[in-house]
Amino acid sequence: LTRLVLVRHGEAQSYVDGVIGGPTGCTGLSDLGRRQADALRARLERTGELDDAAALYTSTLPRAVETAERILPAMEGTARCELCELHVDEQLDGRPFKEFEDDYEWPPTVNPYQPWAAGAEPWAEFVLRVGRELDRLTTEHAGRTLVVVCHGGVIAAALTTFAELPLRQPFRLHIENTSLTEWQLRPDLKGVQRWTLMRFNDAAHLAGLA
Amino acid sequence: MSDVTRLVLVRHGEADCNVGKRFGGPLGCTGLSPEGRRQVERLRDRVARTGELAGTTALYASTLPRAIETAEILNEAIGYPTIETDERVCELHPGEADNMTFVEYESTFFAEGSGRWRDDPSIPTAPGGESWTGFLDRVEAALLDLTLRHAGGLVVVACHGGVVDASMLRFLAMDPQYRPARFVTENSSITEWTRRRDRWRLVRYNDAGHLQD
Repeated sequence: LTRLVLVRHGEAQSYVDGVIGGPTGCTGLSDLGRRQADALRARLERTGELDDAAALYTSTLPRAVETAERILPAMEGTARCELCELHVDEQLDGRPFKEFEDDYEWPPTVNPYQPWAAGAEPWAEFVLRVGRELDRLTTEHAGRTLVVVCHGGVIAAALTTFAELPLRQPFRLHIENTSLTEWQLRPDLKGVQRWTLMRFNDAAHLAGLA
Repeated sequence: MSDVTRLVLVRHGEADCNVGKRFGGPLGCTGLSPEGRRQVERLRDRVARTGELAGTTALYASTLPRAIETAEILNEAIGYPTIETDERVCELHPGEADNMTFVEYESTFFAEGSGRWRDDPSIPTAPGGESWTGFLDRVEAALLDLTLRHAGGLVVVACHGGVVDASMLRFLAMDPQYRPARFVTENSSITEWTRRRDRWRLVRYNDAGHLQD
């Protein structure tokens, strides 16, 4: 059985500061983000639901790396830029969102073939980048449990890839900090291996945390 | 009034018909198994602890006993005055397959050729029953109607795995003829949608954290 568990990072300091969290803008977790990650670690210790984890991957952004270190401290993670949030160029990275709130389009699924702001990666390219990386990782780790600590966009792109959703999306997705989204490769009635969504945005460990 | 409506779909606890591997239509459904009641009690205790369904403005169940029992147990934590039943959130209507075991169904109807529904989802799954696409249409319309009827509120619906599947397929704009991905909706799990300005938002799917401890 191949299990892919996608974990969104805890609340980021860049989010609190209202700036774009690319490689420069991301300064790791906020105080709340650290407490969210600690709540997830306590949950995992209690339930043992990731005790069979065989590999841990993160994006290269500090908020994801820091989250992984807190939730699975005994595991060595591998950082991959292919698992980063929608890429931004140096001009966009670290800029306050409110500086250009009139000239960007959000969410990026509204117009998937155009950058959501000048210097940003279009959604369609992002889905291809993430889908290819997850395909590569789940092939390499077939039959095992793989944990990927990443971003809301990556979790949305995984759903888009595995469920073959349209790129221009009439719906929205809510993905909380430190939530768990789990996919498994399972045989269908005809014995064909198919991606099966086991849970989406499971954040039960955040109840009562503020 | 809030411009956001919450729609919470709760799959029933394990039912006698699940254990017996039989179709649980009006004949075949005899309510929850002892394990099913325990599952819903854990959900009830979780909801009482977290308060995540505080402010419920409507509580519905399908007309099938396993969904009604689920709503009754869950309501011990919610405390809503009434449970309204609505046939439109029933599981796929099984027609003449009702109360048959899955094995009996395979030998009776699949052999006769109505098993073609697996290739053509517009064909009823058994004589007198519903097709998969007919079921998706019925559920999509019902969930939208309940959401609009209680706009700005919190609508809790005790229902079925198929109903949860239908919400995923339709609200996420998936092709009904082709299902690349599959879903495994657990007994007593929570799936939540919100609707704001004519747009669905998936908030969580198959949250069964209360069964893990």
